[in-house]
Amino acid sequence: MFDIKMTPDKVILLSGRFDSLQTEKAIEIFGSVRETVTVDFTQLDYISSAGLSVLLATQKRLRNNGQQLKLTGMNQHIREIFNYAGFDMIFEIN
Amino acid sequence: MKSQFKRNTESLNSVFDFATSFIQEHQLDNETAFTLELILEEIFTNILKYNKEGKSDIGIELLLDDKTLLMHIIDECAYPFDVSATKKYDTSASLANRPIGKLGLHLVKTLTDQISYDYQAGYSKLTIKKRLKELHV
Repeated sequence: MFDIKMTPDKVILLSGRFDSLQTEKAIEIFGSVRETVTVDFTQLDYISSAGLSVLLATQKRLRNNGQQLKLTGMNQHIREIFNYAGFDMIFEIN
Repeated sequence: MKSQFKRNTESLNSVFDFATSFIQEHQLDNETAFTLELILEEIFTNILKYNKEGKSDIGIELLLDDKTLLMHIIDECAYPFDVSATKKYDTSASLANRPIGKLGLHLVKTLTDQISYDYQAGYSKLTIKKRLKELHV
């Protein structure tokens, strides 16, 4: 089960499992982002390279306009995956 | 534990259910469960992406041998494709130079201890070994 929501104060909430079956739903939301937003991982249990690629593509597009995704609330396993991918170098992670 | 999976993206749910059964049977911890599911997803989707000519179901066998998790992934393949020999992903590249994709196999290689590949009679067999820190929580 995966869910993604944009709150009125421009925080993207992720929950469940962000795997290869969920990219379409995620691209709908991330594709609409035009300015800096925070992505809250607190309720996210799992992410694979499919999810990472959606985030990377969004970050590339936003940075071209001086904006970015800021990531927060990752569990230990997800944080390790970000480190292994070298994403800690290209995302602001709190 | 062994099973066959239809070669389409929707089968990924069945792959995850299969992994969950194995995890529960062997009472594996959350970190191992995350790693197992990630490896299976990356390899399974890689096969779907790069071996479109394949017709057979994709076979997955999971074994626990002492403190080592063994994964065998078997697929009909018209030509050899050794995952372990793919180009290194540059984790230090700038954002502008990061390719979209190619991350999956990098994660598989990073998370495992040994990958071996065998190709015989039109079938490829990938064997992945992951040593576990501890078997039970």
